[in-house]
Formats: sequence, structure tokens, C-alpha cells
Amino acid sequence: MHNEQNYIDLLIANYLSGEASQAERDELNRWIGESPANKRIFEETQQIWAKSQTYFAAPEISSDREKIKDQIIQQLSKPTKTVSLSTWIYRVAAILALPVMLGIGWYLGSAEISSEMQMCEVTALKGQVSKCVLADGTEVWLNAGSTLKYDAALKGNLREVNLDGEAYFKVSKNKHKPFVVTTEYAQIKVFGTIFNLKAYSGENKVETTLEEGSVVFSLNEGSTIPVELKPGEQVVYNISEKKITVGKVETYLHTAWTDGKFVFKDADLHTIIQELEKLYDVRIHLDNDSLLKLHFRGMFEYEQNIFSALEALERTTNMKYRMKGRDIWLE
Amino acid sequence: MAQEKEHILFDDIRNGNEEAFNKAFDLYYSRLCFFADKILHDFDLSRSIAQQVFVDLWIKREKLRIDSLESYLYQSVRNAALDVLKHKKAELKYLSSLENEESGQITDLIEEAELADRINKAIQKLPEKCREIFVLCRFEELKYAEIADRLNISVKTVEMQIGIALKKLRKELSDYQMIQLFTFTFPKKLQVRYRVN
Repeated sequence: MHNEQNYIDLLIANYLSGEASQAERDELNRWIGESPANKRIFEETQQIWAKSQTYFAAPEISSDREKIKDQIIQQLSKPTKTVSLSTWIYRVAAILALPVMLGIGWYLGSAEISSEMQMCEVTALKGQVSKCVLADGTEVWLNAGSTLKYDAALKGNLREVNLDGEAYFKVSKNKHKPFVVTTEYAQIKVFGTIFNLKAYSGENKVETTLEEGSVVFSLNEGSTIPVELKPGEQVVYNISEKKITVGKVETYLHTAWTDGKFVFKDADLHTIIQELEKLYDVRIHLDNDSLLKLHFRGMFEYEQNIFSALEALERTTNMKYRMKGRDIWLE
Repeated sequence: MAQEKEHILFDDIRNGNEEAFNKAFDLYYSRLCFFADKILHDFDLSRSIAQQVFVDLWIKREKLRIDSLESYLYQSVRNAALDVLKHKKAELKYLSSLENEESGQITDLIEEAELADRINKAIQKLPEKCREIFVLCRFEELKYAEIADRLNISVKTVEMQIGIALKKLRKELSDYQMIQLFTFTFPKKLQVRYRVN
């Protein structure tokens, strides 16, 4: 009997998964017809099969619990100032299936290790611009997905900070204590000035745009002579080609993000995709490489959601988008 | 969960008791994900929504006046899910059909979600190998031969393990009458049944 039940379960399994042969289906039908009890067993099993929706594994549930706790911590640690208010972030976040991330985390990392060095870390989450003020009065705006690390007291001969991502600095003047920003590939030394620095790890270039004063740009490695910039100039270091170029630019295009705007003029689709991915924490895939030839001018505001950005692209070109979770395909 | 116990659970959460918050998560989180998925048909999105509802529950806990934690959670998820749908033009049609629904239909969705959650928990309890094979067959929709190939086992083993899985699931769910009773119903319109101070 026990074995027979096992055999019947096997028949049901084969039937439900569509692997039963005609002979097996006939046999199962005969068994179902034998008694109401048999019929009930079959129907119950069929229900279980039909009503199981998707498998939600225990480790995934645990990781979601951690995500909730992280979000709560982030949301409770208030930023010094965010350029755009968080209500829209709620909305955009909910719309996009983003793990909703709000606020900036202030973490006093190595406080226990050394009482002299208090390392601070400020992060602007995706879709957000954050601002912080350092101990010397220097103001820093951080663009979406960027992290700034520094010694809270800015002790020593240098005011040294480390950046991964993009930041706009209004450095307070101090002739005796240069302000140095280090990044993965290059560093920028200033005394008192306003400039924008873009150095996201994973992107192929480091870009510095000077608005006021002067800055000295140098690479971490190699014997290239440091470059001194004048206001309105931009230095771009291409990492893979190891090439430095200096040119005049419209600085507003590079600093508009501090007002929560992404402004572009003659930008290719690749550039726009990169920005949108950072802003909305999405992955954008191109189904058709010929789209890369298109160039655009225009503006997106951080407060708009991804749909208005995509719809704007749809209107100006004949491309279409489709979306699944955080992945977007353009064709 | 009994109304009274549930009330105590929310009181504890309001007093900042993290254990109570964890308990509420264990009790309701996966169910709410399945419920949102019934509306959105996008499980990742549903998870994000349910997460946000829990984040809000903790952050706004002192301001919330909740009669029933369970019904508050379901309503919050439902409202958030409908909000998302509003932004998905493609599903406008579905949305209007959903907004015109009788309150009965939303309880149907809840029932189905509860059942999906019960089944999910039963699948979680299956022996590891058996579960792996079942998940590949049912949710990845692989053929027996493909599963056998992937796991380097015989087709016969796959067949037997799925049979065993079904038997165990049936046993685990035998007390479940496929009918669920609900102590609350949803109003037809999106009425908010809790107050914010």
C-alpha cells in the first residue's frame, strides 16, 4: 500500500509537470475513478501545484529583513541638507522597485581605534544630492551614488579628503593648509576655490571642472607634469588611454547637478544612460547599438521620475522602452 | 492571530520593542509579498513595497493609531501597490478593473496570497535536495531531463523526488481546508482605517 501510494505520487508528479506518458495518464485516470478519496488526494495535490506562486527562499527573506533595518537606520540619520526633498524619493523609489534608500548615513567609523583620527564617511544615495560642511567650513555637494571620506577634525598639514564619485567643492581659503582631494587615479590640490570633480570608480575617466580660483591636477602614478587649471577650464583624464586633455567648457553643464538637474548638450545616449542609472538605480540595456549614434540636448530634473525621463526619450526618438524590475531595455 | 494578541504586538512595537517588530516581520512579511504580487505580478517589486511598509511601520510607529496590525499592513501594501500601478500606463485597464472591484475580490487576493505563503513555507521545509529539484521543476519549469543534467542525477531520481515532494506538501498542508477565514474586510474605496496624529 505504502509503495502503491509512492507510485501514485510519482504518476501525479509526472502528470502535473507535463512529463506523463499516455499510458501513465490513463493509469492515473483509472486510479482517480476508483474512489472519491483518491479523487480528493489528486485534487488537493493539483491545488498545491497550481496555487504555489513563486519560491521565496528563507535566506532571501532574511536578507530582506536586513534591508529593512538598513533603510530604517538610513532614514533615521538625517542628512545635513538634501537639495531635493525626500517625499518624491519615496515615490520614485516605490515606483521603481528600488530598495528605498533615504537620507545620508553618517558613520563615525574608526572612533574606537584612535581618538585622534575620527574618520567620517558621507554617502549620497542613488537619486539624491547631498550636502555637507566640513570642519574648516568647506562646503561639499555630493552627487548620486558618491562617497566622501575624511578625518572629521581635518588635522595635520593637509586638509585631505577621499572621493569616489562626483562632488562639487567650495573650499574655504587657507594658504597654510592646502586642501587635497584624492581619488583612485588622480588627486587635486587647492588652496581656496570652487570646482567640480567627477571620479566614479568603474567609469573610464576622471574629470575636474574649475569655476573659480585655481587647482592643480596630478595623477597618482606616472611622471606626468601636474596640470594647473584656470577658471572655466576642464581637465579630463582618460584612464584606459592614459591621456590627459584640457579644454574650455561651459561649467554650468557640469555643476547643474548641485541644483538637482542633469543638463546635457550634444550628449550621446551612452552618457545619458550612465547618468540615469546612477540617478534611479536602474540598469539600462540597449537592444540596438545603432541608437548609440544619437545625440541629445536637454535636461532632466532629479525630482522627475524615471518614467518621465524615458518618455522624453521616447518622444524625441522612435525608441521604445520596456521595464522589468530594475532593468530597462531600450530598442 | 487573535485580535487581542495582535493588539499587544503592535503596542510593543509602538514602545520600540525590536523583538515585537521582528515577530511582526516573521508573521506577515512573506505573506504581504505574495499579496502585492497578486496585484503587481512582479515579485521583486512586491518585495520592495512590502519592505517600505515595514520601514514606515517602525519609523512612524508612535504616530500610528492602528486597530488591527494585520489589516493595517495589508492596506498599506495594497495602497502602495495600486499607487505603483497608476504609474504604469500599460496596466491602466487592469487598474480600473481593480478599483471597481467589490471588496470581496480583494479578500480573495488575500486568501490566495495566504495560501501561496502557506505553500511556500511548506516548500521551505522540504529536505534540501528534494526542495531543489521541486523548485527547478515547478518554478524554473525545467524538464526532468534538464534537471537531471544540471544536478548530475538520473531522471528516475528526479521523478521520485518530485513525487516525494508532492506527498510531503500534501501532508504539511492537510490541515488547511483551502478556505481561510478573515476577521476583517476591505472597504470598497481606499479608506484609511488608521489615524495619523
